Amino acid sequence: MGKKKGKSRLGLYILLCVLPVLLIYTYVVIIPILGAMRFSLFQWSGGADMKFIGLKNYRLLFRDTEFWKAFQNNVWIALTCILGQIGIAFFFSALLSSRVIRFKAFHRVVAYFPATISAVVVGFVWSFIFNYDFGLVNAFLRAIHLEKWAKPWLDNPATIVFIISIPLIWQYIGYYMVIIMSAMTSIDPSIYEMAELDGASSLQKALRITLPLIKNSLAVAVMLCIAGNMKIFDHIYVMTNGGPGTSSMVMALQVYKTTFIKSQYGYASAMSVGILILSLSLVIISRVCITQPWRKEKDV
Amino acid sequence: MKKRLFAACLALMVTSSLWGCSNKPVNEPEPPAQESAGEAGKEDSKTEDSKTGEAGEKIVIHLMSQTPRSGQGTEGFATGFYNMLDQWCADHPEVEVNLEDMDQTSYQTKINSVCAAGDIPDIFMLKGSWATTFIDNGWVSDLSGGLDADPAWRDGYIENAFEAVTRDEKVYGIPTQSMATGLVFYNSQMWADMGYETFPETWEELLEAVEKFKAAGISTFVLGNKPNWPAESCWMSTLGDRYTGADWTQSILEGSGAKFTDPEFIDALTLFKELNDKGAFNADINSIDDKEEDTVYFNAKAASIVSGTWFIPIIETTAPEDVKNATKLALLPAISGGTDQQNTISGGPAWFLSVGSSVPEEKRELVMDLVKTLTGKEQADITASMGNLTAWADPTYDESKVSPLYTEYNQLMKNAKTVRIYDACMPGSVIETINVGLQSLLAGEKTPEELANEIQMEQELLQ
Repeated sequence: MGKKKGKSRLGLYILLCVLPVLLIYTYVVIIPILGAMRFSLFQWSGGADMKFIGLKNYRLLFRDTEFWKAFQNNVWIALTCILGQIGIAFFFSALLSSRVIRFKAFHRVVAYFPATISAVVVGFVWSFIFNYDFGLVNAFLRAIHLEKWAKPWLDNPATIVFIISIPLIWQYIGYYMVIIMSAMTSIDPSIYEMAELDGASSLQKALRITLPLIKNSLAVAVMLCIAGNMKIFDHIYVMTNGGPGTSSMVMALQVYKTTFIKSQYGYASAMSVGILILSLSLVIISRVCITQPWRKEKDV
Repeated sequence: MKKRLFAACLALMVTSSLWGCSNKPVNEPEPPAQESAGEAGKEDSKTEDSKTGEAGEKIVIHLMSQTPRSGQGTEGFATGFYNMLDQWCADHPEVEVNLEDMDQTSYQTKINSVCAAGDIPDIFMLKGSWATTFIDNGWVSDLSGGLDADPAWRDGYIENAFEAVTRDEKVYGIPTQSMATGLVFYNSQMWADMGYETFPETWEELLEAVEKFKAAGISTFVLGNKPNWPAESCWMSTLGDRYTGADWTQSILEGSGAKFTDPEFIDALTLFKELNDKGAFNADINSIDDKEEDTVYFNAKAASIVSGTWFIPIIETTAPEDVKNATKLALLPAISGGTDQQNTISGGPAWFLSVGSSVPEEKRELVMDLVKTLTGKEQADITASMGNLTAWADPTYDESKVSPLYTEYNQLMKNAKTVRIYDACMPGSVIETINVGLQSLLAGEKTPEELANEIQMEQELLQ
């Protein structure tokens, strides 16, 4: 009896401790989302005059090619980043877990360092690196007499999405490295020893042992990567402002412009709700694809 | 137990205060001065008075400005504006002016928020492109009565000064300053090296010059269009008008027939695109911004730059001595296939002083008197003496004390006709479509026809 009372008291205590955070979270996340859902049903330019138009904003959204192009850019950036960030992070983690590399702690810190820098700073630094006249990339190309290859990198609509993915990949490799390395350390070393006895090469060890054993951590990393890249904004705002034209436009930037430059608050709210739905579905799809819950019974 | 009760009470208080906040419109930072109601006593009584206009002790006028007072004494407009304000306050000891001054970016958010919340200041600055929103929402009042009562004041301004804030012959603001956006600044030394004593006067001549500069590895013009307004504000506003004429722009604004898909406008877009295709601009046109373009010009990597009058003081203070001395002003060259009027330049007042719609009758006369003082000739004279552009047609100032470029500009404008700056008069969503589209046009992603269609579609969405 006493124990039970103690337990319920503990529950109350926990609730009380969590309550302030929960309230703040509700105030800054849940309520604005509900607010956006409400505003998305109105034609509204920011003033007192709000006209209820039902689902018209959503019908417009479905036919808005600019929005879907921005979504497509988001997907391309996310795919590039999954391959770039997680792929390179996996490669580095495998290297750092092997015996060939020295000063491991140093490498870990240095690799994580970019993830701590503000996105705006990263954006500025890389826009200087890509600058046509005095940028590092072109200066290097000119130094090795490849003037023809020196290009205004941020001006070509055909390649811009991949160019702006480079800073993103560079910045977050360390972040995914931490996740993957912590997963790798949890693998029992004796498995590798047995494999070595059987004559497995390093590549075989990485692909046949490490990869399957850290699958769940990878799923988390992919999920974080998709979620992060769906709301990408600051790098692109600083580097290209969505340009040239709309060729590097992403969804979050488009919402910002629709709200504060075009003053279409209602339509922008509908866009935000659209982003929420699209991101959630992509995250769920990726999770299902990686963990493949339907294969579990057969495999085990 | 008591402690727990206390904690619960605290939690309840936090919750209730949070809910209290959430009743306010989202997206809008809370205005501090109005916010103080019920919290800080002193501020509170001021704002209350200004709303009701009751003559308790002093009449309070609430004034909001996008020009920080810190510029008084150093910057032309701030000096003119605040000197006149100080003088008016000294002459009217019975009135207290409650001034809120801040930088432009904060001002834009704040004025929109306070007006949307219904706490409209008595006097405030209105940007030309906001006019439609503010007038349609009924936040500003008609000033034509006051203007007509004093013809000397009304007629003292430059031509078409009230255009951007006039609807159905009612005037909703008084211009405070002016600008031109499509002004050619050229390095006369570099042009002389190519064999040009003055800036070309015809488009054909300009295209020849472009070839010569290109052969020499120099950009004829530098344009930093990353923020995407310079191509439209500094180039298209003028080039467009050279083909369409001012009546077309007026018709677009009124929605009375003219279309962006009209062949004249498409011709203007084509001309601009061809100029870029011929290599007149820097290669990184869409990836450097409006500050970086200045550096390219200062480093003599480009022979000219098309910018606004705000560039005059920048040259004065930051350009290297040789570039500063070589810089001269010109209009964009005449286009042979355009209208008869080719001596045009986009320009006009961008900021206006407006009176809030909630000013009570008994305070109105005082408010109008203050507006007249702040926008009158004396303000213009002070502003002009410091080398800044005014909306007043003929300010008195000492030419020997201002930048030679400013004097040159005034000379140039005597033979030029001002046409409207697109982003100072067209609605925000159309401007954004033009701005983004011009980037695509310059990057070769869109044809002039596709862009014209897109702008027209955005325009039709509004109607």
